[in-house]
Amino acid sequence: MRIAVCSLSELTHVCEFLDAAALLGERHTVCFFSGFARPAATALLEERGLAGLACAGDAAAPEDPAFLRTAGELLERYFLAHAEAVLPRLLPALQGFRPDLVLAHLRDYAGVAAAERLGVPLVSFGSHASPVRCEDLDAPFGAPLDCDSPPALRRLLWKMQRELDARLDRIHNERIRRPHGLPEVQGTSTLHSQQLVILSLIPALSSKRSPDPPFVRYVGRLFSRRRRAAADAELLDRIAASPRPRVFVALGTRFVSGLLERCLAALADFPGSVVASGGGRLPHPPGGAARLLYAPFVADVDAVLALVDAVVTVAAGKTTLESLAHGRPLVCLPRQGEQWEIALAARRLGAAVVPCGGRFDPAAFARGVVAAATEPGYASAARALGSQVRAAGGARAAAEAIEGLFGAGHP
Amino acid sequence: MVEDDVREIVARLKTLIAEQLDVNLTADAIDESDSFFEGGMGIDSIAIVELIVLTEQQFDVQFGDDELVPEWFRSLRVFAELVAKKRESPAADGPGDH
Repeated sequence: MRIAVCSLSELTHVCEFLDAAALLGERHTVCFFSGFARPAATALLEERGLAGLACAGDAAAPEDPAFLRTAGELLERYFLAHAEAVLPRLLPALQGFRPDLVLAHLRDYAGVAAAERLGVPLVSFGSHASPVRCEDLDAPFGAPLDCDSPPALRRLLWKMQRELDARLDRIHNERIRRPHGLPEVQGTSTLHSQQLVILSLIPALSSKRSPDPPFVRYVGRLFSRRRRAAADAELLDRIAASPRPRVFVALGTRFVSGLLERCLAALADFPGSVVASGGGRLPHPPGGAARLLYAPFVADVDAVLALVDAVVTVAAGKTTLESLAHGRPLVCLPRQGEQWEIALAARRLGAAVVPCGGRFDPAAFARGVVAAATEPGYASAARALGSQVRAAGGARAAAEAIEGLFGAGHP
Repeated sequence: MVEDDVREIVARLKTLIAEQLDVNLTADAIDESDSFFEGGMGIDSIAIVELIVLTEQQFDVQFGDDELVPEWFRSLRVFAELVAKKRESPAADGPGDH
């Protein structure tokens, strides 16, 4: 079987299906079509022995998603802009590859359109909760509500969601689908495969009440960052020797600018040790905590998680699942869309603190970090969720689900 | 309902939106006739939920289920009128009944 993975361009997106693609690559021909060239993503693909093609060439890149605030901005100015730039070059590249199957990130609209244009089956994937929503029972996808939120608030947010989707549908159809002869679609923000949707999450971290159709599969943690790197060895030794409690500020590769500095300043009096990663964007620590153990980039995130007591995260799917898999409670600073849904679900289940709203509150944040790192209830709840993450099957379950689509005699 | 009260609430809400919600808006740039949603201020569901919570806290009111309806959010002015009515009496009339 020839499998094209349309992953979007950024390292964080390329990572999502990397381990499952490596497993599929043992028996099939797999190639990533990632859009814009990102050296870190290319290096990671090479490290796993996977082929990759950044097919966008010299097309104008969309805005940096880290600086887009609302869900509408993010979808229009990053994801749809990415598809508009990439699709004209992706189509001939995919025609040359002749895939039997396209795996497309839930927000890779170019991959979705290309699969449809070429008449190739589509599988969706992403570190999200299920995009299949029932308006009578569920909050809209990514809404900042948990499953116990008032029905009236849910209805109000559905009204907003419909208005947002009407605008996004117009952009999607006019700029991306119509120029390539594709029929119009509705519900752009939750567009997904009708054959298989692989979600790197667990159902408990969703606000959904309605049951999912069988083609929606939660597989838990898809990506492992258990990677040996010489640069991490010294950091790990220093963490192991540092006083407890220990908190790991892990804001990923996209959200460190500005937010990391505020977090470290707020933790100046933290009664323990603060470990922080610059996410590959900040070579030096931006000031802050007294007992700070800083690395510009941490490759072996799992080894760090094994040594700390709590994790500060934006509640994106990958770091959330990695932390919970290690039984580490979370301090969530959600920035965008579905991060809120995941953060509020983790809080409702007792495994997370969500100390502030959209605006950062240093005092509330510092209190939240101390609570998560020292109160045993949080760790206990995180361990319970961790066992669900580990039982969900991960990359192997994802690979088996994909092969299962084609039965034993796959092409 | 006293017009001065509504005007004062509009001003306070503008400050609250600009300074306490994580949105790219200044108080001066907000028009009281703007809708909160698409085509107006364009704030998203995260900001609207925060706006509701912060308004309840800072104006000492509690919104009921029948008040969390799109009609009360069709403009900042209409929302301010709801807050003014809530401060006068706990249960507000429907939007547009005034």
